[in-house]
Amino acid sequence: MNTFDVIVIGGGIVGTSILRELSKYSMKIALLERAPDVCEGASKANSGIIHTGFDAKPNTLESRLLAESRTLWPDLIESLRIPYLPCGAVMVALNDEEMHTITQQVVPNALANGVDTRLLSKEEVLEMGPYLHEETVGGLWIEGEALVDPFWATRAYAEIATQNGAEVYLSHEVQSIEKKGNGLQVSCKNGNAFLTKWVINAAGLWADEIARMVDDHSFTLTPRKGQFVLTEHEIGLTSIVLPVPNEKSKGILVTPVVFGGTILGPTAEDQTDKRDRSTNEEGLRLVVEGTSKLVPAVKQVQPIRQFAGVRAVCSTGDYVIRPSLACEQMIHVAGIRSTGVSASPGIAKEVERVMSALNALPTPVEGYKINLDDRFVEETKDGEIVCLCRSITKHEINLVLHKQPLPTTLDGIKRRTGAMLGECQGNLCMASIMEMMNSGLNIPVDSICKHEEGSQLVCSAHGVKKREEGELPE
Amino acid sequence: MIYDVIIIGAGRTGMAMANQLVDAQKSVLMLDHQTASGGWNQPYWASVSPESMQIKERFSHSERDQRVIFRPNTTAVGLLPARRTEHHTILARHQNGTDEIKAKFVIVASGSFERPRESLQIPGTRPAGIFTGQSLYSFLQRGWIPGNRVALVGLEPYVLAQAKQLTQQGIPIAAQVITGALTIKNSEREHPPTLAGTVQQISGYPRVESIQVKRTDHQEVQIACDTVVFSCGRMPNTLFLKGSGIQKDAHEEALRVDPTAQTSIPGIFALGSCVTGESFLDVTSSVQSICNQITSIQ
Repeated sequence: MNTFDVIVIGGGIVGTSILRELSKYSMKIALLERAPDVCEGASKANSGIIHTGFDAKPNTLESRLLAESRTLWPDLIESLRIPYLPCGAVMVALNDEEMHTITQQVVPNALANGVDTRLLSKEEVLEMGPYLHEETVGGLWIEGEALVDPFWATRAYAEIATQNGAEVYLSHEVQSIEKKGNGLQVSCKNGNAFLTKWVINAAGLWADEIARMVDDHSFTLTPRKGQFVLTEHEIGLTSIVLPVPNEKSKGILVTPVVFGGTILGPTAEDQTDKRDRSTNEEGLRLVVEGTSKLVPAVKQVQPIRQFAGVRAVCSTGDYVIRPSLACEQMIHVAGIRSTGVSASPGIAKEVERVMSALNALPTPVEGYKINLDDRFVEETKDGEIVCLCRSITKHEINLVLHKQPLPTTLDGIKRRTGAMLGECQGNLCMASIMEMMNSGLNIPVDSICKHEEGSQLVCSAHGVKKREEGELPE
Repeated sequence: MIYDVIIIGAGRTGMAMANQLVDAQKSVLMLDHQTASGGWNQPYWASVSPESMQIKERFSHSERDQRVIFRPNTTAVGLLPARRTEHHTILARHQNGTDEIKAKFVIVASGSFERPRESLQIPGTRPAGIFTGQSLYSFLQRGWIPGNRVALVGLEPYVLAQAKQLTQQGIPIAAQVITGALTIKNSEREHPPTLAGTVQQISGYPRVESIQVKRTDHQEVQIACDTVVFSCGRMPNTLFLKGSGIQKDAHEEALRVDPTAQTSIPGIFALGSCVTGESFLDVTSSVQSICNQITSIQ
C-alpha cells in the first residue's frame, strides 16, 4: 500500500495551494482528487478576483487570511508566472441611500480590515468609467482589488508541488477513512488505498462529508449557486465594477477577465444539490438586468458562454481550519465560501501553522524549486495555429501534454492553454486537439472525456464497439 | 515578393474570387487555416450548393499550374493596412513562425462558423455531446461516432444535410428540430421525427440525456438523445482583424463594406459570409465588382 506522511483531499485552489506549501518539507505528500483533473469544482467557475477583503467581517479567520494573502500574492504571481491584472474596483452608488451605505458601512468595515479606499464624486466615477451608468451619485475606489487566472493558479500550485516531489492522484474519489495503527487508511472508490499520518480535508463542498467519515459532525456545508455570463464584447472596462452590497448579498458584478473578455455575475441561489451546476433563463436574466444598472452597455452584449459555480456556505459562518475534534490526524480546511482564490496563499500558511503546532512538520527540504519555467519561449516548430479564436498553437498544446499533473480531459487542455475558450467554444479545433491528446498521451480517442468521468466525446471509433443498447435514458 | 492580391480564406467564396483574378492575370496568394482548400462548408456542398464543386475544380487546376499560390495550414493573425507605402501587410502564422506578407490588395473571405450552443443562450447543464455541424463533421471525417441517438437542431438545409451523413454511417437520429419555416411534407416528418421549434433547455450530466423543445404551436416536448448538433446561424470569422481599423457591425462581428465590396479601408475588400453572416449567398456580383476595381486601379 502507498504510504505517505500527508494526504491532501481535494484538488481545488485550496488543496493545491496547501500541497505547494507542504512540498517545502522533507516528507512524502500526495493529493487525491475525485475528478479527472484539478480545478473541477468551485475553483473553475468564479470571477477570478483577488479580493482585498475590504467587505469581510472584521476579526474573522477569513479576514485575517485575506489580509495575509495580500502580502503573499506578489511573490507567487512572479514565481508561478500567474496571469495577473491589478485593475482595482469601483463600487457604484445609484442613489443617496446607497452612498450612505458606502460611507456608513463599507468604508468603516474596510478600515477595520486595513484596506485603503477612496470616496469618489459622481464626476470622478464617470471619469473613471465612461461606460458606467450616468445616474450614479458617487462611489468608492478600492485600489487593491485585482484579478488572476484561477485555472492557471490552481494548475501552477499543483505543478510546482509535483516538481518538488509531491504526488497528485486524479480520479481518486475518497470512499472511507479508518484508523490503522498510528495512522489513517484512506480508501478510494477505484480500489486504491493509502496509509498516512495526516489527512488535510480540503474537499470543498464535500468537506463535511469527508469529516463524517471520521464521525465528525461539527460543521455542515450547503451549496449556493452563482450563475455567470461571459462575453468577448468590447465594453472598454478598465476595472472591476461592484454594486453597493445589501443585506442579502454582495451583488452581481462586472469583471474584466485576465485572458480576455468580461464576466457578468454571479447570482446567489441556495439549493440542495451540490452537483447541480445548470444554468436557467431566470439566472441569466438576473445577471444581465442586475449588471446593466451599473454598465448599461451589457444589455447589448453577445454572450459567448454561460456557466454556474457552486460555493460552500458553512454552518459556522467562518472558515474552519483546525484539527478535527473527532480525529486529531485530520485537519479541516472547510467553509472557504467564495474567497478561495483570494485567500489560498494565506490558507496554506495557516495549515502550515496548524501542523507546526501539532509537531507534524519535519525540516524543510533542501534545494526547493520556487519558480515555474517560462512557457512562453518563441517556438521554432509546431507553430501552426490550432485554436483559431484564441490563436493557440500546436506547440503550446504539446507543451502542456507532458506537464504534471497531466491533462487527461478536453477541459484540462482548455484551462491550461486557453484553447477552446473563444467564440466557437472549441467546435472548430476540438477534434485536432483530441488527436494531439491521443498521440501525445496515448489515450484512445473514445476514452477522452470533456470533464467528469462518463463525459466521453466519442462513443466509438474505427469499428470500436458501440455502447450497449438500452444504456441511454429514454 | 509583393503580390497583387492576398486572399484570406480558401472556401467556396475565396476560390471563386481567385478564379476570377487568375483569369485577369493577377498574381494571387491564397492563405487558409485548414490543411486543404474547400472551407468549413464543404460538407454541405453536395446538398446545398453542388456548383461549388466546379469552383474548387477550377481553383485546383490553377493551383497545379502555379497561377495561384495556395498556402494551407497558414493562419492570418493580423492585418496592417497600408500607411504611406502602397502595400498592405498580412501577418501569417504557420509551422515555422510568422511571416509578414505584402500585397497591393487584400480580399477577406474568411467565412463564418456556426454559433455554438453558448452563443444561442440555451440554459441547462453543460454536458459532453453538444456539437455544431462543423464539429460533427470533424468527428465523422475521422471515423469517430459522436453518439448513439442524435438530435439535429437548426435551419432546414443544414439539418437535412447532416441527417443524410449520419444515416449513411448508420447513426440513429432522435429528431430533426427545424428552427425556421418547415417545408418538409407532412408525410415525410415521421422518420426521422421532424418538428419546427426551438430548444429551451439541455439536460443530463456528464453526457447529454435530453433536450426540451418548444414547438411553434407552443407545445413542449422532451427528446431523449445523447448528442445534440446545432446549426442555428453563423458568426463571421473576423476576430483576427482586431486592431486593423476595419469597421465592423454593431455586434463587432460582420465586416462593413460599401456597395462595391470595399471595406472601410481602401484596397481591402471583403465578401461572403464574413460580411453577410449567411452562407451560400450568391457572391457573383461582389467577385465581379472587386475584380473590376483591382484591374482598373492598376
